[in-house]
Amino acid sequence: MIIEVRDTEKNLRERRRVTSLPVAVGRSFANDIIVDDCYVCPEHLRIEPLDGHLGLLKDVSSINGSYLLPEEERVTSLPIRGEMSVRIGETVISFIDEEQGVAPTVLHRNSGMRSKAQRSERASFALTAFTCYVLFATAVAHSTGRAHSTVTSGKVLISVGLYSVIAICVWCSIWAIITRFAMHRFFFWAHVSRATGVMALGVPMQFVSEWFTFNSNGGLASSAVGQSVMFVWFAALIYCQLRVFSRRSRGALLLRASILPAIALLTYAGFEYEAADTFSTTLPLVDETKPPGLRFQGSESIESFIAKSGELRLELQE
Amino acid sequence: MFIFRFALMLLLLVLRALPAGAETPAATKEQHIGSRGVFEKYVPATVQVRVVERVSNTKSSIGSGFLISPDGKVVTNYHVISEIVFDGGHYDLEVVDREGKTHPAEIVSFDLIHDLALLQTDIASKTLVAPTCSEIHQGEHLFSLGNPHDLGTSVVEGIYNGLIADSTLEHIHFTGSINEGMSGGPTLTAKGQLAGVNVSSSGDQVSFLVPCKFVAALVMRAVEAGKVDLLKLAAAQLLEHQERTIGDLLKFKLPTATVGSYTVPSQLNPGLKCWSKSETRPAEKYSYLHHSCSDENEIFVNQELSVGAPSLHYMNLSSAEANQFQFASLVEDTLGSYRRMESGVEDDFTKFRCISKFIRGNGTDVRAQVCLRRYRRLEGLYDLVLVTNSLDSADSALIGYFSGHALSFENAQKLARALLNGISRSSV
Repeated sequence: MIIEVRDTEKNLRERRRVTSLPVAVGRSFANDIIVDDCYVCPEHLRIEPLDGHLGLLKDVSSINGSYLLPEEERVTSLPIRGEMSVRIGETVISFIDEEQGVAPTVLHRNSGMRSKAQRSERASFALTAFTCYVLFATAVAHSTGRAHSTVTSGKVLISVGLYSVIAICVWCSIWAIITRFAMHRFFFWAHVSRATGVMALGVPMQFVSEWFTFNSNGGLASSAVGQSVMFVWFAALIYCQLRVFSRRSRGALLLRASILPAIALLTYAGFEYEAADTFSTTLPLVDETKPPGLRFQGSESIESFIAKSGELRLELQE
Repeated sequence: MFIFRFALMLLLLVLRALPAGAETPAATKEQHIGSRGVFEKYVPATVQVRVVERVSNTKSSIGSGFLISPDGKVVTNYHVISEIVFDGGHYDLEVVDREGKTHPAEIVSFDLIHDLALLQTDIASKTLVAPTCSEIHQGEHLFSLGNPHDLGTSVVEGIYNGLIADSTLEHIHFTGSINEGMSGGPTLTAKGQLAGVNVSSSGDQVSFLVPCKFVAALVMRAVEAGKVDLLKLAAAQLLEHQERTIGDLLKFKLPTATVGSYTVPSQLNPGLKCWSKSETRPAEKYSYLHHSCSDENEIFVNQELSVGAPSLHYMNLSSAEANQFQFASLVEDTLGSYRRMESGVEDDFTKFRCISKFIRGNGTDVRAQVCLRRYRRLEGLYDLVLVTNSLDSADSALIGYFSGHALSFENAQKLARALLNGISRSSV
């Protein structure tokens, strides 16, 4: 019997001929087949002899379980036949009858080439990050550009670039730390720390904001559009994090990723509405007649402005 | 009502014919009676005015007052009884006489602008303080009667120092200690004539009196007006006051001051006190010049609301070092710091409604926002807030914040127009 060990992207890690049973599979060095996967238990599977079959697969009370592919059906004990695959953690174990002909060649992960899935994932992440950056920068340029007549979009874009670089660095660092140290036993805590890590991005972002604009209520913070984009940015980061760690569908991930920022956004919108409704000197964020970041000049005469203020009388009658 | 008016008319005629204190035989026109004499003669005419919370039957506010007519008319301060005007359902008005006997009272009329009220009680007293006024000379001794801190009727001696200079309201500057609880009590000359009514104090022997002539005017008006709706009366008086003050103000070009590189409206009337401050903040790469004018003699309307002349705040920010983004943020932050400067109870006002535009100003382009809120209980009155920031320079900006209280809608608009027209770039 031939046993193949692959990752979930079908990249081959190991191909081994098994001549005698039983065989132990797991993460610890005491196993016959050692699987380098943090979601696999130190002692995960055993393959024992069984008459009439290639062997009997037994899950040794693993925490994350063993799943028969392609149905993803959880199994504890299963007779092995040829061309059968079982997933444990992020690893796929395939059993092949030796009677089969020549094995198909596959690209190795470390060969310097990337699988299609890997490439598309990286591309989608880059696209997401870039889109977030552009949206974010445009929003800030729009809101702060309105603050004064002479701010140019270019200057704002450069300053916002700083936000983005720092945010990405912090996110990557947290991601790296978690994937290195979080073990499957601590699955729950890994999730908690991941979420905390992503949300903690707000701190350096705010810090940069303060450093750059003197205090916390400058430009971005006073812009509802800027805030909204920041929450979208958070959602995108959480989505990317979840994609790395979870095999759920894209829709489910998007839903999960958007819950926290959505709550924050609604809370913020509530505050803004309350503030604007009670009394606010916040000048309007969007002036339909002016593009963002350009030099503003008065467009109304004093007389016309005062005449328009007459409309307030009716509004105040409620 | 007719009998009441007739009695009051008769009283006024008699009082005009006779010198003050004439109803007590010992007093003569030219006689100086001194503090002891004032105390002995006029303490019986001095009463304590109490506003009592109806459910708990405990005092909510106390003040003093004095009897001016044999049928029990009492003069006190408006601010002592304002709770009755605005929240009459929860409070009762009482007057405690010299013997400690409590009498129910009701408001006949008031002069909100000058902080006076006329009450009707059932006290029948022979000792009265007549609201007849005569000339007083600076340096003359005056004697103030009242009930400081609910300790019993006291007499306080002080000096008449004339009317307060540069004030929107005519108040007598009295060098004597008027304490809490004495509000509404009479201040008499050494001859026993009414000089004014105790109204407020700034501590350290600096106290203020409402001149006697306003008491006489209130009594006359009450006779003519008869029974009135108290809230409507308050609104009418405030409207009349703003019509007079804002009307006078807008007849001419607004007085201006130079704030940095801008010329701005300032010191709208002599009662406004203006202050300036400048500072350079090297760490934050900017400097500012702050100029503000506010009215220190506000008109008391109720516990939560006092109204004064329109106040002005200017902040001229400049920076040669900060980049334009930093400077823009600084301007935005400073604008943000002017949020919610207006106080008031939600039940008394609507929420502010605003309109914002980029304006071609008078020599400088500005971003302007005008906000108004309506007084729910005082019909026809509005609060105005006007916020501006200049748009004509990359390293210098002028932020203006104006607020005007208890204005008619038309005057609020006129004032906003005049203020916007008054901002211009100074020629260097």
